[in-house]
Amino acid sequence: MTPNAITTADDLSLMPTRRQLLGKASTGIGSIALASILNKGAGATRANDTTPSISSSISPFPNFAPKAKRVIYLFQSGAPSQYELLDHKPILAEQHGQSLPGSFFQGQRQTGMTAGQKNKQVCKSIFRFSRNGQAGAEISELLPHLAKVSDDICIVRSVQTDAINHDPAITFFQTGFQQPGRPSLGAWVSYGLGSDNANLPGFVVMISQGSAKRDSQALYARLWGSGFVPSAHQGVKFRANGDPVLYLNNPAGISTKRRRKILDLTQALNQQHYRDVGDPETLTRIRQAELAYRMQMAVPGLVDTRDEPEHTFDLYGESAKRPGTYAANCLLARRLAERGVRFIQLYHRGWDQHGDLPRDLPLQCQDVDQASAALISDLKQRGMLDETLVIWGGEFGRTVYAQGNLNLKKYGRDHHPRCFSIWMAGGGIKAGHTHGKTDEYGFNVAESPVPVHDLHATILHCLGINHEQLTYKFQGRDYRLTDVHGHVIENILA
Amino acid sequence: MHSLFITKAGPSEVITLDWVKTLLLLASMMLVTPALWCQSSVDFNRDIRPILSEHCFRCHGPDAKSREADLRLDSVKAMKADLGGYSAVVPGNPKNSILLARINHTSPDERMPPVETGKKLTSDQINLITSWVQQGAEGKKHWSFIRPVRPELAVDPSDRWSKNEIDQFILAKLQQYQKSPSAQAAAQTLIRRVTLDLTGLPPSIDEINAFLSDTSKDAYENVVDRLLDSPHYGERMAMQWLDASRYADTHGYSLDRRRVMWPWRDWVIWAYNQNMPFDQFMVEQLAGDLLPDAKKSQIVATGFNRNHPIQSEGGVINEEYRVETVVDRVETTASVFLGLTMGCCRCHDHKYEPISQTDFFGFYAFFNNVPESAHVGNGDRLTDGPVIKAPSVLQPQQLQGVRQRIVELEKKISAESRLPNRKPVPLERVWIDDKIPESSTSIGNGSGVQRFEFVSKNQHPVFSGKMSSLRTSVGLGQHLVQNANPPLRLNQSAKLFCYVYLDPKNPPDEIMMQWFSGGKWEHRAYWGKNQIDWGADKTASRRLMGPLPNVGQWTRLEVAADQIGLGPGSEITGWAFTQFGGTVYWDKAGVLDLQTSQSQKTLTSLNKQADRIQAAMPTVMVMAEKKPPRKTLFLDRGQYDSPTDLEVKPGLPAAFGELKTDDRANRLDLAKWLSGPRNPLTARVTVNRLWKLHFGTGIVKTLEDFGSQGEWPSHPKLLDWLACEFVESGWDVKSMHKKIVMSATYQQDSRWSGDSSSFDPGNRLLGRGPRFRLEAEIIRDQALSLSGLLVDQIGGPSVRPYQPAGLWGDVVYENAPRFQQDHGDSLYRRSLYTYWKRSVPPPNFQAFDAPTREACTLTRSMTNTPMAALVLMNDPTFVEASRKLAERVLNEIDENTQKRLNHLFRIVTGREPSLAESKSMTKAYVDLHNEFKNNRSAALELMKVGEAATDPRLEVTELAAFTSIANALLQTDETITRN
Repeated sequence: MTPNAITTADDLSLMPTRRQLLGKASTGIGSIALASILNKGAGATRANDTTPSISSSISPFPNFAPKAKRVIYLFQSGAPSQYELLDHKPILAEQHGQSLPGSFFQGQRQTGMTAGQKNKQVCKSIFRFSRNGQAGAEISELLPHLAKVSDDICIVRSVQTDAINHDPAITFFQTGFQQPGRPSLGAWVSYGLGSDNANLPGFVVMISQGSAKRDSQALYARLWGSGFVPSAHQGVKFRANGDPVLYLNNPAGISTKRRRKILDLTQALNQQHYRDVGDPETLTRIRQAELAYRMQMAVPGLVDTRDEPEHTFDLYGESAKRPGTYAANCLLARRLAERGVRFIQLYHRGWDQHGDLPRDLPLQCQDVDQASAALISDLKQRGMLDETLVIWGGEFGRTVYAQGNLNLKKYGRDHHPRCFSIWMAGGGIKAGHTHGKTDEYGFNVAESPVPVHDLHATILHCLGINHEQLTYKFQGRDYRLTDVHGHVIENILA
Repeated sequence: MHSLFITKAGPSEVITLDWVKTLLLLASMMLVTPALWCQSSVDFNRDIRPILSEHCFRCHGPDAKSREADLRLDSVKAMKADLGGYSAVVPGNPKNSILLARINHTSPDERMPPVETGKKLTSDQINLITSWVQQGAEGKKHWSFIRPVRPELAVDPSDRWSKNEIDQFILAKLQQYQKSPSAQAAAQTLIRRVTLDLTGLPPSIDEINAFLSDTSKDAYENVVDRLLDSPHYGERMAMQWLDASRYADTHGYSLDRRRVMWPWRDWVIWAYNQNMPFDQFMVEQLAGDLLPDAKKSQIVATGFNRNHPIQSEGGVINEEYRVETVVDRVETTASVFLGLTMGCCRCHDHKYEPISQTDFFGFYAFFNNVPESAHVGNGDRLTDGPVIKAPSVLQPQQLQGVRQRIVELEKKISAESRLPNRKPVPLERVWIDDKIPESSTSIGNGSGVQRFEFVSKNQHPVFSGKMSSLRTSVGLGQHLVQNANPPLRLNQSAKLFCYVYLDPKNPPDEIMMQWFSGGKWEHRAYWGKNQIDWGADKTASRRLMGPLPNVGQWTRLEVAADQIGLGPGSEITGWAFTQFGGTVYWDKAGVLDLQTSQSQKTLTSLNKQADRIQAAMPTVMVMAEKKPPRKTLFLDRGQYDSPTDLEVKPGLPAAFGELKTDDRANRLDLAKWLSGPRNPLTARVTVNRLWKLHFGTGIVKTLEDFGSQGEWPSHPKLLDWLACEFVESGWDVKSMHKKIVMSATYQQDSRWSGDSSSFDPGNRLLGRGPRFRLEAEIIRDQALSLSGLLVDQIGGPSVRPYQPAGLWGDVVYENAPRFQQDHGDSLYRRSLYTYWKRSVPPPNFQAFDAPTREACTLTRSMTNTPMAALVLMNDPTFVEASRKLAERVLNEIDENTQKRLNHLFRIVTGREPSLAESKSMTKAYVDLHNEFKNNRSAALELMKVGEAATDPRLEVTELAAFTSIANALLQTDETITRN
């Protein structure tokens, strides 16, 4: 290296970025990410490893002491009705069947499904609410287990979104933007903080099918995609059928022992090639193949819950024994959390009750109620709830009026973006608290609105990240999860 | 500062040394830097604008609405303007320049940029700005907005390295750093590099050998010409273009159902293979429908701007998504052809570029006039908006390809039929010979020994091997095998056979064979008297085959499987050898697959395929103009539901001047301007993309952003030279590729030298050859090609090769279709034909950074992850390719294991292994072969991965061991990298 190598601004581009030196783009920007995705000496035992040691000072994240080390996001795809679950509106019973005048809607856009519906009649909830716990949280009879842990959660009744249809709304919730192309929440977190486990990905996704099958809206790879951040940060799906992680299992006839022998040959050739060519990328390749092998070892034990004591299944419910159910995924979420996975994203499908809500909503609640509550209790008894942020909710709310003719046996509700309810618990969130209020019809937020960007800012805040500083430069612009928006909701912080 | 990153990965003592060097370097830099700044003149575009753009433009840039203090720093003129007794910049007078006062301010509250922006100027950057002001604060338009002028070549008389003009630019820059280029890459490395780059496929051994033995001066050039002429060139170039144009086989949003756009993909492949000039390529795709007397193919070409996603969700407002679609066209067109991030000015004036929100809507107006609904609904609607029904441009070629295969096959069939005595041996799958089938059991019952008795050839007649089976019975007796696993699977027109020898001294009355399939012993064939009373006469359960064979000699018995009710796909798990009286020897039983009928079958399917291609008249989405034209209204904040009264006419961003048209400007006017001399960007943006394909990084690294936030070119003069050369050549794409790959720069060895990791790890100066990982599609295509599985048919509808079960089912709408895997040839087509569902993109490509194709992608990330490693290990695609590759090696090289391993290595990497590599392979092979010898059933299991049949002649444990070695080789760094 000659001392006068750096002379002009255009030479800045010649300098290696940290990422180039440490294995291109496979890393998050946090120190933990660098150390862990590169595996703290992952290949060291076999591969003359030369992982550079990273000083923690170059990591900008977390910006401040985090409350939560990880997130478990229990996404309820399709949009559960707040009127039947978490936002009790007694006036609806009084005015049940009344037609709402056009002026009521204040210009609110409606979906194509009910925009043309002339008679929009107020519809009450056929399910009862009760007050629970010391804090007296109002929760529906459909969620009896949640009611029992109500003092551990924070119900947020004033969430708002900009989107009114599923695809843009869920895309907005999961990526901060209604159109495709942005990194998902989990990818941002993985990018910012990396993984805490050398053998597992930092961002894991699990999907379960709702019992109200016909109401299942589609999901898209973009929801856990990496957008323009390096694709190493995309969510890795854990699946109940086939390989638990895509391509994890060796083919028939290749035992672990044989796989090791095959890999040993690959690695020996890689080593020789590195000695010949000298590209550090080859060393990264060696480490990543070792990590793949270790995942092969680690994941089957992780997803096999037969080692759980019977009382675990008493807690989560019998269905937790059936792989692929929401309950099984909740249990897996806890096991992943224990192993340091940074962002665990569940999707439970089937919440789009445009009709037949009286039949289908209880089925959906049966799918999720016990297991969601169990996850809270389980994390709590293991001392992990404080450091794990749990979020439960869908992509928007539902209308105060019934879709189509009002019939209490078969009613349903259309989409409503102006206010709806979710709950959060654990790492950094106030327990036993209800945040925000909606007006008496549940049409508008009356107090303390929580736009999606604010929710995202708050989630990042709990993880110790200033949402304005978690940026990625793409097409000349510093992009953020929260775009140019977002305020941390201080009032729900513990 | 930057040198902090120079710590090279290495053993700790090296790091220590490097640290010493680094410290020395830091010290020396501190000494030399100011002197350097003084002696070199500062260039506003290169040195100053990027700093201001990054740190200041957000608040002091082109966007008037968000401009603070009425100060703009994107214009040198504005910086010098009098702001009431003072100016931001006073040329030659840093002290009186407020800009410098503010960036140097001691109070954090006053200092720019403000703390809350998270931006901070380094002292080097402040020094640069100071020097620039000192030197007179000269400003220029942003470099990429100035039309390129062909620069003078810097000819160095002592230069013996350069092969063409490119090299002179590269060398000059290297010399500035006292660096020299690397030596030429080894021939086998070079041919693999250029073949992968130009066709996306590896060179064959024959091609490598031909190149190695060709000592003529033109050897390399001949290879390059051959590759540019290959029909696979068009496929390889189309791969990039599919990402750029967000091509997919589904609509994308919500239900994400299927669509038909593959005829447009065919057009792209065809256009590349025709070497259509790039300006024409661009004009036809943007406005082919508006060309006078537009041909059908020119209209199909406009599918470029119909590849966007389309909504299907019930509740959406169509206008919202129609606006999104038009915005998508603007963003895609601007990124691909102009290298500009125009989407930024949808909601506000651009923060960094001289493009206003009005400019945005002027551009938007070109694409806002398509008669489309922007919604395909819930059903299986393949298209929305304007369409055309037209045969694929590749139809004649496809037809020719298939017809050629038909002719070849017919020749083969006729040759086969003229050879009555052709050796049937290679086609037999022997099931019982000296031993009984895998994991079967055997018994004997009725009259005679109560077991399956093998007798040896010392004392008895034996037809094959060392033993035959023997039974002497009085009346009915038999021996049989049962519960075989794996079963004997029958193909089309299979014949079951067995050899039999009847003792002349004690012949039987009748012999019979029975097969166990589908849970029953109901498939029988007999010879001689009809004495055995099982099954029903003249049915598959008791079929008379003829009289008893002659005694005292071996006779082959053959039974066509369908005569005894066993169709293709039937699985036999038991086989009985039955006799009525006499002494009978049985030997070598199995199944005969008739190649003629296999060929016949292929022929039938090829003929059908030819008919299909000929009849195909697919309907594909295209651009068209609505009449009368839709008014484009300025949308407040870019929102579909906030139109203003302001009508915006189609036009160029003001920074590019005006379009001169008699009438309202349309897409064709835009396309012509793009390909015309007044456009400073398109030629640069295009050659930069071609450059990236060969070097892994563009001369401008940010392919999609040539604006002020984009990266400064590593070789600005070279970029301009190439752009001028390109235009003057008539936008000749193949020539440009040839120019690049013929350069000495391209042909360099890619080995890292002593200081590569500290001096230029990103290889931006190109002091060594380019080395980077192959793209997802090429990694798969390479494996298919090496293993001989590749079906290299060009064009046509998308195909659905292997993918893990249930992926669509996990996420699709309840009544939407599930993935259905194809079989046969479709499993082995090139990857650019793989069906692309946007909500569930091909998972094995995703592991290698393939995008979702929901939006234009010009640069894929290039990651290195465990997920990718798992694909190479376990994806059936790669396991099957490993097996077929192993078969290929075993069939091509006789017996000698070492030779075979070396051959395998050479097929995969294109070079001979070193001694050490050879040793590693041998050791692993011996180990793995022992493994499989000790566990033969594991070897058999491995053979079942993938649908391609295993060559029955090969010994299975050996094949399994070679399959494993091939699997190891297909996942090495070298294999998935072009060196």
